[in-house]
Order: sequence, then structure tokens, then C-alpha cells
Amino acid sequence: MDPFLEAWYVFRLTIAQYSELQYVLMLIPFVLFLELPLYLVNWLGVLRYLYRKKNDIPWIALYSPRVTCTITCYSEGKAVQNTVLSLLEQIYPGHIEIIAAVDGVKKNLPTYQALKELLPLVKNYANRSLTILPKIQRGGRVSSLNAGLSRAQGEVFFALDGDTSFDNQMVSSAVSHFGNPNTVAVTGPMRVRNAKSTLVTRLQNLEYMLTMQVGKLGFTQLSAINNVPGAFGVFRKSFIQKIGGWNTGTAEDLDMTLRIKQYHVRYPELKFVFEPNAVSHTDVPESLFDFLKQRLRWDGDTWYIYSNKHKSGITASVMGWKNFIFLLWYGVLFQVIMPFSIVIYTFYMAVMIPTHIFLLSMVLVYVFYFLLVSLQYVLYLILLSDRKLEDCQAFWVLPVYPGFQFIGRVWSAVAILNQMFNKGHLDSAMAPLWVLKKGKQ
Amino acid sequence: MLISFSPNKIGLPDAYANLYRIHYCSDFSEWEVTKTVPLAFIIDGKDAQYVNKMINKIRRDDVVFASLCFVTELSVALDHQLLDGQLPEPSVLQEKINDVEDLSKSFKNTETYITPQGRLIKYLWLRTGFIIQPQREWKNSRYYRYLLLEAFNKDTGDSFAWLRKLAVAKILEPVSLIDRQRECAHCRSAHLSFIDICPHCFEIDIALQPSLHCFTCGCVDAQDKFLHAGMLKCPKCSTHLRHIGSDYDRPLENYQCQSCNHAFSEGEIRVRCAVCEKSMKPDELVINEIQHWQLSDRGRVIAFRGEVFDLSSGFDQLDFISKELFVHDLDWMMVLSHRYKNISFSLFGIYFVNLVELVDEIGHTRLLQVMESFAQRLRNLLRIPDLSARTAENMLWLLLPNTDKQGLAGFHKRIEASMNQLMLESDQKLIYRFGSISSDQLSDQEDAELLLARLSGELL
Repeated sequence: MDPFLEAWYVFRLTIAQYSELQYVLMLIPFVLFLELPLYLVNWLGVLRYLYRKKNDIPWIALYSPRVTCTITCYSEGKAVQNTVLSLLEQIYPGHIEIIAAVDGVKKNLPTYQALKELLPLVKNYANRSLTILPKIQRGGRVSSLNAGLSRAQGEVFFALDGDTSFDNQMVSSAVSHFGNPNTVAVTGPMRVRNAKSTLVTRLQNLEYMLTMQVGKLGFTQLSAINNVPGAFGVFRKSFIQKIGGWNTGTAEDLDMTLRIKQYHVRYPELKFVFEPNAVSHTDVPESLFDFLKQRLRWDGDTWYIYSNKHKSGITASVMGWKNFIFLLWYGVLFQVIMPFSIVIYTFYMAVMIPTHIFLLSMVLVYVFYFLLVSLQYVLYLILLSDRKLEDCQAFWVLPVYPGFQFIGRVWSAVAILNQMFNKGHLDSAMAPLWVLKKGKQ
Repeated sequence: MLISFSPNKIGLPDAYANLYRIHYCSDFSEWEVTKTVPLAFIIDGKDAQYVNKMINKIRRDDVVFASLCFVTELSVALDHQLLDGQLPEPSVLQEKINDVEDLSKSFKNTETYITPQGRLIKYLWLRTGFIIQPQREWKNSRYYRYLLLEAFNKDTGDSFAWLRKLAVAKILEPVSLIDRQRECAHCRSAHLSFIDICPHCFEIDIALQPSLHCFTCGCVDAQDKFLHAGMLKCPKCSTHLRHIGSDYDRPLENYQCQSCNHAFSEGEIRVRCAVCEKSMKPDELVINEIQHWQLSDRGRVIAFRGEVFDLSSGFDQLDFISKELFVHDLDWMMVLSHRYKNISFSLFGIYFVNLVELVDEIGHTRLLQVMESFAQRLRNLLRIPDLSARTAENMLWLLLPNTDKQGLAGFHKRIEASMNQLMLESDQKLIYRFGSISSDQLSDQEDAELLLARLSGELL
């Protein structure tokens, strides 16, 4: 015990010597107990994946069933052609049935027209078909997905966004996992297509690398995926049909993920898979205003789903301890509580401690996060990136990124408050108000 | 008297039997023995084949081709074009018979009516508002058939060619266009197949060959060469091609000829006729406009007058020369009179302003009569060497040689008198203008074309 006590004594002595240091140390519990372990666990998952990839015997799936890709279209216009084209281009021996559901077709005639222009092209591709579902009455994304589900003839159901396109190995690499009868959902890395447009898109590009690629890969390796994103989710159709398709309301993707997780105790063998080769490319908001608007919805919806819709579903007895702890840790602690504590804490420090100390601690925080992000970025670049040259571009925004993260966290708090007091989930571009109101409030 | 064709000689209802004498025949040959002309034929409609056989024989007969023919029952398989519909109530039947009798009284029977054209006109004249409709028949090489024309043509020759002649002669006029079909340039069949072939060696063996274009090194090659173990890899630079549009695209050349290896994006299209088996290019095909037709005004005039006379050929007895010849002669006269001052001539133009409108006002026939009499008087005014030409339907030109200013004035007076007569005949409604010039008024710079243009400009 002696050496330990001795160290503790020296530590106390040092703090007493430099009294300002204790303010700085106030930050430690945060980082130490909330964030760092999360990143650590995440990277452990990534390492597990890398280890498996290196040592597992690669197998080529002979399983190539008919699959259905439902694209939910709204006001994408000509851009939707990219999505359909990238699906037609898939290197996949089975049949790909593409269903493009155009919501509110009267208002979105350019999108409908753009899809119709593609019809003659489809016959040039073997084993591909394109069905356009013009929905006269706008019913939102959920109704489009369910409409596609009712028409789907494939075994595997791809729920895709009209502004997202895909690498030509997406379908084959995603489908290969469904050879395992326990796999119910697959997703893959999402990359930012318009990264080079503005600073905001460049920052989001880096964010997507670290959260959508590293984050999802790592957590899925530990069978704890946070969300199968709405823009790119692949499901076993029979399973989705059995649980009744998508549910009304906003954040239908998180809702679906949680509902699948709630089968965990009853069917522990059900599996989520993250397939790094099933790459999708999506457009992100180009201006800070649009970005904030998007996040207002995302983060608000998260709170809406956790606090209202799945209030009673988030228990260990339903989703199992692993999912429950992960959800508490990542979903509640990291996504809900931390934004508030960061805001309150920063505010508290700014008021309570001397300005120069506050600034100093801010610089320290900045340096810490800069190093953390840089480390993750470099690791990602070396170990995971499938487009290394392209991803190197993100290097330049590293110094700005911690600031961007900070804004994101503060904004999360705003979004949750907006949801709590303003019913933000009713203000969604995903579905008309009359549809959203029908959902559980 | 009515004649009823029925295979089993089933009697008509009493309502008809009370009004008309009815003669029953089971076959056409039975009727041919007596060849009595009835008020109408009535055919038992139970067996469509029987009806079609009878009606086709009736329409091909020299005597009763235009008679009213009714069936007791209508069905889809009947040749409706040749029939007058279902047997109506006795009162309506009598009305129809009366109509036909009235119309046939006003019809001018001349010897020309032994011709197919005459029969057709008579048939249409007796059925006011009748529309000649084609019938679709996939077994027919032309696809469309005009049954009525075939019947009156007695199946000799091409009914489409005859139709064209009738249209050119303005006896029939189109009512509505129903199809525009492409036909074989050799046999006019509509049974064509379109084949795409190699534009280089004209071989049929072409295949769609998807080829890719690598953005990294610019390599363009067949897609098969890019495929490696479920991924696309450029055969030249080994880049992994992942996303269309950003890594690679599909260049336009999409077809490859299997016999000459020529790559092309659009094959040449050849048309092969299924009937005569000849091959041709699509732009060589003959376009045939399939229309509904009806008897024209001119056709009706022929029906009641028995001869042909219309606006466009109304002045035929004036012995018009062609415009080109007229211009040539006028030129020559101008040169002559310029060189030899003793030679004089005059040019006289007559322009009818409202000829077309007058058709509506006083009727076609009346106008034709008016114009005919005018043409006759005008012919009397002209001397043998005088030339006449028509540059438009309502624009006449007269070239009067050896007519100076005074002579022209005299001619003017005479034609004015003739015109007054014309005005009386047309109820003072005809509007006309004269324009004239004599050789001594001509300028040196003008030639015949310019002179005509100037004068007609003044008239219009």
C-alpha cells in the first residue's frame, strides 16, 4: 500500500501547489468515465474485426436470391437517377427488383419524370427491373417503405434513400450475410458524396468516417449497433413483414432498430451485421443552417424515440443486458445527458472560475479532443479506409473539427429541449403533419 | 316487292308480308333466274357466312348493286360496309325505300354508269352521308380492306389505287384520317418486320456488348475484361472500379457485330416484307394514309348531272396552256414588240375575288353553271391566236397578239358586257377585277415574270 499512498500524497501536494490545476482536473471525470471508454470499446471492436478479417477463411457466398431495393423518393429530381443507376450497375448475379416510391407525385413530377426516363435503360441490364410507385397522396417515408414492402418479391429488402448511391459490390456483399439465417439486418459505411462542396460538408465527411464507419463497425462487432440508418438499411424481408413493417412517426429507422433489439431475449441468435464493403454515398447538408436543421430533427427524434415511443421497451428483460447497457451508455448517457452536462459545465466554468483559467482549460480541452480525433483519424486511414487518397483530404479540417463537435453537442441539447417542450418530432420533412400526428405522441 | 334470302326460306313477320309481296329465295342463283328488281333485299342474318356470300353477290351484280339490303339480325362477323343495317320496322322501311326512290329519280343515268366508278357514285348518291370505311384484316396483305370498293371493282385491280384515282378526280373526299401505315415499296404489303443489322457489313448477327470506361487511365474495353471475382477491376491500371459516374462509366458504343467486330451505338434498321420477302430501308417504305371517305360535291354533281365540271377544270374548254409556256410566249412577245415597233400585243388578267365564298352562297351547281356559261362567252370573244393561261384557280390570263391600246379598250368593253351578264346570273354577288396592259405601256426592264407579278399584285 505504501507506494500507492505515497503517490497519492505527492499528487495532493502538487495540486495544493498549483491550485488552478484542480479546475482543469474537473474535466477528467467526463472524459475518463464517459467518452474515452466508449472510444476504447469501439476500437476494440474494430480490432476484433481486423483480426477476424485477417484470420478467418474467406468464403464466397453462393447465395444470391432475388432482392428488392425500395428507394424512397421525394424531391430529389434528376439526382434520383444516380441512385437507380448505381443499383442497376450492381455486380450481382441474382435479380434486383428496384421499386422507386415517389411520395406526393403531383408535387414531385420532376422526380417521377427522371425515373421514367430510366425505364428504357433498364432492359440493357440483365436481371434488373424497375417499378415506379407513384404515390398520389403524400404519406411520408414510412408509407413509401411499407408500400415497397407490400410489393417486394425479393428475399432481402433494401430500404434506401433517393439521394444515396452505392458501390457496385453493395448488394452482393450485403446479401452474402443473409446466407446465415440468423442475420436480420445489415448496414454498411456511409460516405459523404458532396464532401468537397463546403467546409460544413468536409467536417461532416470526417464525422461520417469516425461515427458511421469506425463507430458502427466497432459496435456491430460487439453486437451492439446503435442504429440501422434510414438511408441505407438492409433487412430480411420475412422478418420485417413478421414484425409488421415500419411504424408511423419520425425516426422510423431508430424505431425499427430498437424494435428488432427488443427481440433479443426471446431470440438471442438474431444478428445485426455491419458490412464494410457495402458502401453507400449520400449527400449531406451544405450550409450550417441546413446542417443544424437536420440535427435538430435527428437529435430531437432520438429523445422522442427513447422517451416516448420506447419508454417501456428499453429494459434488460426485453433487449438483454448487453443491449441495455450499451443503450444506456451510448444512447442515453452519450447522446442525451452529455450534451446537457457539457453545456452546463462550460457555462458553470465560464462564470465560476477566473477567465484566464477558463480559457486555459478550454485550450486543454481543445488539444485533448484534437489529439483524440487525430489519433482515430490516422488509425482509420491506416486500418480501415477503402479510399485512402480521397480520405486524406479530410486532414485539413482536423484542427476545426473539435469546434465543430462542440457546436454539435450544444446543438444536441437544444434539439432535445425543442423536442421536450415543442414536440419537435411533429416538424419533420419525413412525413406530412397529419401522418405524424397519428403516431404515438 | 321484297326479296328475302334465307337458307331455309323462313318467312318474314306478317307485318311485312301484309304490306309487301315477298319472294323467297334460298340462294342467289335462284334469284338470278328471274332477276326481278325488288324494293329491297332482306337476308336471314343467322349465318354470317351466308349473309356475306349473298351481300357480296348482290353488290357485284350489274343490276341490283345499289339496292337496299337489310339483315334480320346483326352480328360482328358481317360485312357491314355492304349492308344497310338491320331490317327496320315496316314504316321505317317504307321511308327508306321512298328516300332511295326519290334520290334515284334525281340521279342522271347515262351510259357511263356501267363503269365501276359510276356504280360507286350511284351507290353513294342513294345513301346520303354514307361513309366508306376500311376494315382491318390481319390475313390481308394490305391489312386494311375497302370491301365496298372491292365489290364495285369486281375484285379486279387494287382498290387502293382505284381509291387514289377517285380522290384525284375529286369524286371522293376524305372525312377523317384513321391510320398512317408503312407499306412495302415493292408489293405494298403492311406485314413488315424491322431488323437491326451491322451498319458496316450489314450482317444480322449483332450483340449488345456492354463496355466500360475507366476514369483513372481512360481504358475502354468490354465489361467481361473488367470483371474479376465479383468486382470490377481495370485490366490496364488495376484500379478497383466501385461507383458508376465517379470511377467508371459506360461509353456509347454498345453493340458489336459478331462477324466483322465493328462496334457501334445504333444498328442500321432494315425492313423485311413478309409477303414478297424483299428487304428495304425504313425511309423507302411507302406511307399509306388510311382514311374514311365520302362522296364529294363534285361526285354529287356528277350524280345528278351525269358529267364532270368543277372550278378547277371549269375553264377547260378555253384550251389553257401551261403557265411556263405562257410566260415564255409573253417574253417572246415582249422582245418582239420592243424590237419591232409595229408589233403590238396586250395582256389581260381576270381575277375572281370571291369564287370560293360563292360556292356557299349560291351553291356549287349554280356556280358551275355560271362559270360554264362565262367560259363559253369568253371563248367566243377570243380569236384563234389568243393564248390563255390560269395561274391560280381564280386567276385567268389572256395574251392578245396584235392588239394595241385601242384594241384592248374594245376588248375591255366586250368582256365588260359579258361580265354584266355574268353578274346577273350570279345574283350580283360575284366580285371580279380586271387588269390589263398593252405593249406600248411596257418598260424595257421588265420581263414576263415581273410583268405578271406586277399585274397580279395590282389585282390582288
